[in-house]
Amino acid sequence: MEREKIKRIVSKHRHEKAAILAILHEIQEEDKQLETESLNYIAQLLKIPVANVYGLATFYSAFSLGKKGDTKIRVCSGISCHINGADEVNEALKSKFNLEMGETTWDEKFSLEKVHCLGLCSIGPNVAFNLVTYPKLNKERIETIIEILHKRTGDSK
Amino acid sequence: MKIKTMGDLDKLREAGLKSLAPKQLKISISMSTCGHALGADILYHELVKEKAKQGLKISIGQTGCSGFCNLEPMAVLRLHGRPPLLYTQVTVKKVKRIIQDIKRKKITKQGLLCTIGSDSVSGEPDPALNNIPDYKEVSPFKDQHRRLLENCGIINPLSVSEYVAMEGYSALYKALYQMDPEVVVDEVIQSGLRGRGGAWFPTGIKWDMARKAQHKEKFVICNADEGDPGAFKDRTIMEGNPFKLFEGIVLAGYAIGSHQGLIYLREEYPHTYEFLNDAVYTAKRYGLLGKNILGSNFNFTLKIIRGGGSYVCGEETALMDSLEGEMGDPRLRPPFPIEKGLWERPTIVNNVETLANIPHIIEHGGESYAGIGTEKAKGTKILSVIGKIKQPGLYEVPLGTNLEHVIFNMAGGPLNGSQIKAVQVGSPFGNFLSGEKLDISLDPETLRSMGSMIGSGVIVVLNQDTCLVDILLHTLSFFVEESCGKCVPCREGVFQMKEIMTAIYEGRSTMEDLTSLHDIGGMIKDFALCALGGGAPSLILNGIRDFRKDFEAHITTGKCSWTS
Ligand SMILES: Cc1cc2nc3c(=O)[nH]c(=O)nc-3n(C[C@H](O)[C@H](O)[C@H](O)COP(=O)(O)O)c2cc1C
Ligand code: SF4
Ligand code: FES
Repeated sequence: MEREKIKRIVSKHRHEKAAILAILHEIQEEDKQLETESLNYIAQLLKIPVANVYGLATFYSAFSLGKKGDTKIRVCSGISCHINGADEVNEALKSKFNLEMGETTWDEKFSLEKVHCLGLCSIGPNVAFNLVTYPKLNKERIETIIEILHKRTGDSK
Repeated sequence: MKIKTMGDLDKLREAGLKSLAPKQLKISISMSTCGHALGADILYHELVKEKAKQGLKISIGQTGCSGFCNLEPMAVLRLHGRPPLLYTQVTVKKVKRIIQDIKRKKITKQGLLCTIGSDSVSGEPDPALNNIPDYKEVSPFKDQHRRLLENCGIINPLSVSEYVAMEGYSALYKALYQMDPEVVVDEVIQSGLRGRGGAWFPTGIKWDMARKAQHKEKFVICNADEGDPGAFKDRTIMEGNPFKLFEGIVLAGYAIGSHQGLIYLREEYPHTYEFLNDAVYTAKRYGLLGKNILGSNFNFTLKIIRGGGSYVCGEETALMDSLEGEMGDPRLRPPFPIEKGLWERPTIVNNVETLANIPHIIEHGGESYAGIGTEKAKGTKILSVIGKIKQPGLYEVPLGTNLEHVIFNMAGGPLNGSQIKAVQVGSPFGNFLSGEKLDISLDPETLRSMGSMIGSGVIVVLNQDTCLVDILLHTLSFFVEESCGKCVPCREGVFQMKEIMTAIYEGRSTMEDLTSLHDIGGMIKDFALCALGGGAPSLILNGIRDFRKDFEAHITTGKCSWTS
């Protein structure tokens, strides 16, 4: 992200160190990652050690140093989804995108990650594609959804 | 419009009652996170289109999550002179049919679950509603005692007037104008309310200490991290009736002398984040947050802060680190947050469910609140019943309700008539109880005597084709991934336990590995800094004791017991 923009976000939060999570959220949402450059600059603006900012960026699972996909796919691995067949959905996603958990497709369209519960436990297995959650999944249903997504966004294997 | 007087509140109540019993047909669609996942927004827009196309004289509204997501999208139908009707699993086709039928003065029975409350207008029995039960008589609502969830799924969660019509904000009004903060705290002590976030600490005592702490700046933190997998009660309260929570938070502020509240919301609830911000905006407009609340001289601001997706940040000291912009790691206490909390200021941290209890306590008095529950555990508890169960969802019951009753009579028993193998109360830390031991009272004392706990109320039901080795390994992986890494027993010990469990699962182990699990477990239990590491061992060790057959099968054949 350009420095000007980072500066605007940091000023919006009145240069408060406590707002750093909110700042990182905003940058992550736009850039789909937290670049080293950005982290350095935030540290400078907030007058805190770079190591601290870097620490936060790696400690919290919401942030990532590497690029996430335009569509962030979050597979629920919570107890309820697990009991009801999340593994099968998980495997289908991994093989369809040819990704491991935590990875992003080469064209940066999709990334895959695990989440511990989406709070929709009675309609699982659930997978969230950005803000849209697909419930009651099984192998067939997730494969159909992926086919539709591929058609919509162009190939991404 | 800012509410400043009792007269304003009365006017709003009237408007709310009108909105809940409208002159013309009103259809309200449930639009929370779960409703959206099941197509509620499509349904809503189709309905708007249909209204325009046919020039229908109806209004279209919304409700929130009621705790039974598999029955979504739900729709509440309000017809003048009749009790509201609750439809489940509504589709575009179904809703068109309902509208058509109403034009012909007929009531569609298909998909109609129940009526909600009685007819407020005529009082006469309605022949059209013959054989349609009231929601108090029908599964999954029957036998519940919905004090906290009473409005969820019924009112428009963003309508202040509808909440006021359901007694909302009368507790806050009463407190601000007729009660000293000390008296508010006393009522909470009287009620016997204990924290619903897992640790079960007496809420009134916490508040009393915070009230007495001398400082001009204090904080109220609402813990909405809802990290236990399988829990969604806090989400349902926040999305179904946010103003009840806000009222509880402001009451907490008034009681302890704080003017700033923060809701720490888990990152995995993006929809809830937007929604709560809308609710804060609305509450401010009505003078229910901000300066001179309800026309009094009490000021209180509320902010929603998003977490970063870390389970350990639900632990209160880690949570405060996170709010200060740090990595969350649990600290040793004392000092307790009530002395030195956020920014070293006196702070109370309370769970969403805990705070949602407060309006009832202040409105009806602590003693009346304590009228339900057991000798030691007062009030209701929301249980999140999930797993291999016919009707999963949220069941709010008095503490002390029988577990077997909840599982079999309320939640319909195990899926497809299967057998229950084990039930975990207080997931992820509570022990798995074997299927024969379910005739017990759901209260912390009884559960503790069985080596279990109520935790945040997650009840996981497993049937005969679930393997305990698999489930325990899955839970251990969760602990390992969420360990903050601050202390060695948890960072190294729980990791090693997981490695051994993986070997057992894959059939690469011997019976001696069970002994290693015991040894490592004992060490972790004694030395872990917080409940995350400290709680892992007993779960595993009790699992080995009570479900030994599953372990032996994996060790000897590398497979689950029923496949061998
Ligand atoms: C690892 C860990 C995770 C926790 N997660 C939560 C949580 O998600 N929500 C919550 O309310 N309390 C959680 N707690 C309990 C809090 O530390 C604290 O006891 C609670 O918020 C106090 O509120 P209460 O008294 O109203 O229950 C957690 C505790 C531990 C050790
Ligand atoms: S027990 Fe685990 S989560 Fe708790 S402080 Fe130690 S390392 Fe962190
Ligand atoms: S366990 Fe998957 S949504 Fe809760």
